[in-house]
Amino acid sequence: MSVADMPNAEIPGAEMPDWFVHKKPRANLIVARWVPAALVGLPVLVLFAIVVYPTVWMFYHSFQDTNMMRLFQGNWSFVGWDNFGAVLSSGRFGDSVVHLMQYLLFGCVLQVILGTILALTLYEIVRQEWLRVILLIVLVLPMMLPPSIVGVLWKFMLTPSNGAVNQALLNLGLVDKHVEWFNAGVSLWAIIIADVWNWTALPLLIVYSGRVSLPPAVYEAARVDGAKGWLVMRRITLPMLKEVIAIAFIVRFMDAFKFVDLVYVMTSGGPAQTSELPAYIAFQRGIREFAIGEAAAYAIIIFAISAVLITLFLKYLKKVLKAQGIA
Amino acid sequence: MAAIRLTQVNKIYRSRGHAVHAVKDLDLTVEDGEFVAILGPSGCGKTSTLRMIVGLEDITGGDIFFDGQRVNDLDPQARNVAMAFETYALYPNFTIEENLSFPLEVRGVPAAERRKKVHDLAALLRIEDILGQKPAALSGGQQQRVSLGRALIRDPAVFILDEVMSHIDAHLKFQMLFELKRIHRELGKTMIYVTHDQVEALALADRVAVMSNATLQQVGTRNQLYHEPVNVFVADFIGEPPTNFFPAELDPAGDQPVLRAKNAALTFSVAAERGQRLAASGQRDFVVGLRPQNLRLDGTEVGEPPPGGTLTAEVAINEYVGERTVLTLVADGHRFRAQAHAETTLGRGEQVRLRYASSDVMVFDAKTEALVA
Amino acid sequence: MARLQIEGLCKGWDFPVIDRLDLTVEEGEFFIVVGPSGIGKTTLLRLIAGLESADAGRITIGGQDITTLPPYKRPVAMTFESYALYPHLSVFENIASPLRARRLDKAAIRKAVTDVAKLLRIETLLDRRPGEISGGQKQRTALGRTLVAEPQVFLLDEPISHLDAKIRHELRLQFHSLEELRRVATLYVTHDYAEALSLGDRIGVMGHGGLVQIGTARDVFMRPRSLFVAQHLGQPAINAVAARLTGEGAALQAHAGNTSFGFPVVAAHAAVLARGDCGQVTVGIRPQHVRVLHNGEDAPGHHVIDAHVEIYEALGANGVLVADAGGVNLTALTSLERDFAHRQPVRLALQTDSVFYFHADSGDNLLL
Repeated sequence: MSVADMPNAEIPGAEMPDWFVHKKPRANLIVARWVPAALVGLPVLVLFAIVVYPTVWMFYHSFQDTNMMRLFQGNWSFVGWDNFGAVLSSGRFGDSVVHLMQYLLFGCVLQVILGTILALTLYEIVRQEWLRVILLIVLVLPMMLPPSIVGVLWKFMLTPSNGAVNQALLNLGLVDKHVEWFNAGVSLWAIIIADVWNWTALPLLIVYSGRVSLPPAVYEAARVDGAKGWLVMRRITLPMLKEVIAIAFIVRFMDAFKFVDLVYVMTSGGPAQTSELPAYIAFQRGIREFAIGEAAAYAIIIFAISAVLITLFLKYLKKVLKAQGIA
Repeated sequence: MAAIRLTQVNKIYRSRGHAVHAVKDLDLTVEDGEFVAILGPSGCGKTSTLRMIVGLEDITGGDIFFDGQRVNDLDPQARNVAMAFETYALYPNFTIEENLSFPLEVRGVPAAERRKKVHDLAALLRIEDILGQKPAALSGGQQQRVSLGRALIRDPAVFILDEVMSHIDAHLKFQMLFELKRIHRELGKTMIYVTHDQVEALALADRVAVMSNATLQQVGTRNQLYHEPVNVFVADFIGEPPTNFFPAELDPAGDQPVLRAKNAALTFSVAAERGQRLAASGQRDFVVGLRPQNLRLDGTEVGEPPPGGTLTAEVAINEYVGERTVLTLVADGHRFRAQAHAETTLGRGEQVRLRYASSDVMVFDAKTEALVA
Repeated sequence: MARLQIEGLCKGWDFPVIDRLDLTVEEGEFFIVVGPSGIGKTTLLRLIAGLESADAGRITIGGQDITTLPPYKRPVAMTFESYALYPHLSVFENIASPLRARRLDKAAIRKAVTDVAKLLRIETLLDRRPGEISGGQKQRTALGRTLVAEPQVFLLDEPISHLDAKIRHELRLQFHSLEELRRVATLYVTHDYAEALSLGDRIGVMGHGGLVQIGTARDVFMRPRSLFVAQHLGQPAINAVAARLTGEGAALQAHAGNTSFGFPVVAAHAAVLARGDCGQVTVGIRPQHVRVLHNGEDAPGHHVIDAHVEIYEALGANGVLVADAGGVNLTALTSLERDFAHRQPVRLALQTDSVFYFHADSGDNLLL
């Protein structure tokens, strides 16, 4: 029976030579002993202060009836699952989840699709290296602007009476009267349009770099095999980019759950809460209305949902990568 | 099936003001059904040549004909070539079966027929049991066979194989060489094989084209390259262990001219008639080439030794390689190798006498390095 | 006194790459580990260099236990298969890098580097970058970097496998003649059996988990402990024929099932084989022990078989003939001058006293 076959518990220490035991490497340091401790310790302290403590604080308060008054007075009290109950039973939360779905489907998915199309078009169609670089820079520019500026910019562009977008639509004859971009039911679309403009460049960059790193020999093989154009795209490029595209989507997906800035700048969730997203409500309830307990409950629910979804995503990704022998 | 003719083919790469002349005035003909290898060290232009034949690279100058038809402007598909790549270039997200059937799918072959062809070919290549797997799960040798299979499946006019053995372990390589040879014999297709490994080229090809410095040096059968290399480069590149070279002077004294190694007492005798020719050329400086296989330990040859001469040398290193022994010898400041039986146990410092046949002595011009006689 | 000693080395528990490996490399010894790719040769070197940590076992150099030391504290130097030169540094700086790490003074570094460069004949390349030199020169630079470190143990990972045949021969000579390498313990890893046989003072053939056989070149080639060893040394590979031993004593015969292939077992072998009950064996015949007879030639002491040619190819310095001998394909080594046609009848002379007999299941050499 070889050692490898033996269950660990059965290895009798006494019968093994003394070296036949896994030894932990001794610390062999070229610096003073406190240096490694400090190098590890300081970041841990900072991490604790800015991540662990607030998170624990939030969990704690999600079960308390904390508001600003009580917070300062220090007399909040335990209310069990009341905060969660309030959140889940309110129509406001349900509506915001529907908005989030709408945003994911038409915002994030659209960004990934558009980004992929742009990236591959850029790579396959534009032959001149310099032109490609210039186009890439131009396409990436919106992403470099702060969201508050983007929000203001699009608020102006979408102004119903004399905004650039309505003018253009009228001149092109696509609409016959001004579109009321910030009315109920439409304002969420306004946010989505601005967000697509703002963030399409991210999936574009991710997919473009993915395409650049695909092995050229495979494309030569396809050329010799006689495959061209759309067939190569459909059967070879897109399948090979599957994981890269999935990663681009996950990145945008994660952002969606904490999406506050454009909502705040463009519509403040209005009119009549018709463009609210869950994170925005948490922000609104906690920071603006100081319903800290309820805001914490919002945050935890969002955290839980996104954690589950992203774990599923990563599981899928790992499976795919494993099947291809990459990871 | 196709015969291939290259006439005055040139390839010049230009980038940022630099121009690299990768292939110079190449003339080469490959007969229908022939197996030709293009052999040369890295950077000699063999891969550029191959890529021009396939159609992956523009031709800077000259013409390429397939069966008399000029194909310069045709794309790879229209030329009907198939290619196996050094890096295999399998489609990573396809199974092996899909990889093999893709070229057929592109041509709109119905699924049932594709299936049958793939399975027939898999049997030929002995890869039936891995058809359902993805390329990443296979060993290098298996991937290699699949990539060969993808080239074989669609009945092309010409097969192009680019360094396809370079990633295969030595002890599997030999088997793969035979396999490829068998496939060539069974299909009777024109094949062009590019490699830097002379063993592969000589084992596989009907004829070998040796390239160096963007120029074709010699095209010939194994025997031609081995016995009549046109210049020092070919003599040096073909053969293992490498050929021994001795800078030498012709000593025309007497009726039997001999070549004397520079600054040494080593002499090489050649047949009288050949010696006269060397003397008549008016040249005095030559390079003598003698293959290690043709230097035999005195007393080990079978039968009457052919006319030739002997060298006396001291053993410097005895390299035992299983089937044979390679002796590195030193004589008068010249270092050279000889091949001996596996049982040879001669050690460092021992004196040996080596016999060679005059007909095996290759003589090159010292300046042009071309074979003189 | 710096011998490298490895005792009970293990790496990996569930699927051990290395399983209780013992090895001693003496000071001044050139020890070669040969084996197929992916078998764990490089892992062994990495364990000794400290780039990976052992799961069990002990490694000592000159009596000092280094099993748990970090790489930079071990008195070893290693070259990598990919050379691993610093692309942004000149050849000089690449060679000097181990000395710089030790903060030697400038003059000493310059002297050490130029000495090593002269030895390896790269002294004219010292100002160049790795991108501007050939593969063989890169290999020498990598070797220089390890030589200059003056370690007690050299670890060389496939140092010449990826070079052209001519440069390979050249560097092989260099390994033979470099006194610096011959003074310390060297562990050299390769998949090329010819390299191993030609260079190694001793050779270890690596199979799954560890060294299957250790011995001199002639030992491992002429007395392989198992079929695995025999199959991995030699090109073309050894003929392995499943056969049955029949008859008694001096009349012992080997026969391949369902074919007419067979030959008498020589008395010396028969005596050994008779002791075990091994009816079913794998017969191993090296291609060089199958001689293709010329017309009318006699081969006293050989067993002559009629066969016909399947394939004949030139392979490097020899011709290789595969012949169908009564239903069994035999590979034979011939001289390059000869030529054979497909299906041509030939007579093969088996050197039956050089045949190996392996156990049909375990592959153990039954004659040892």
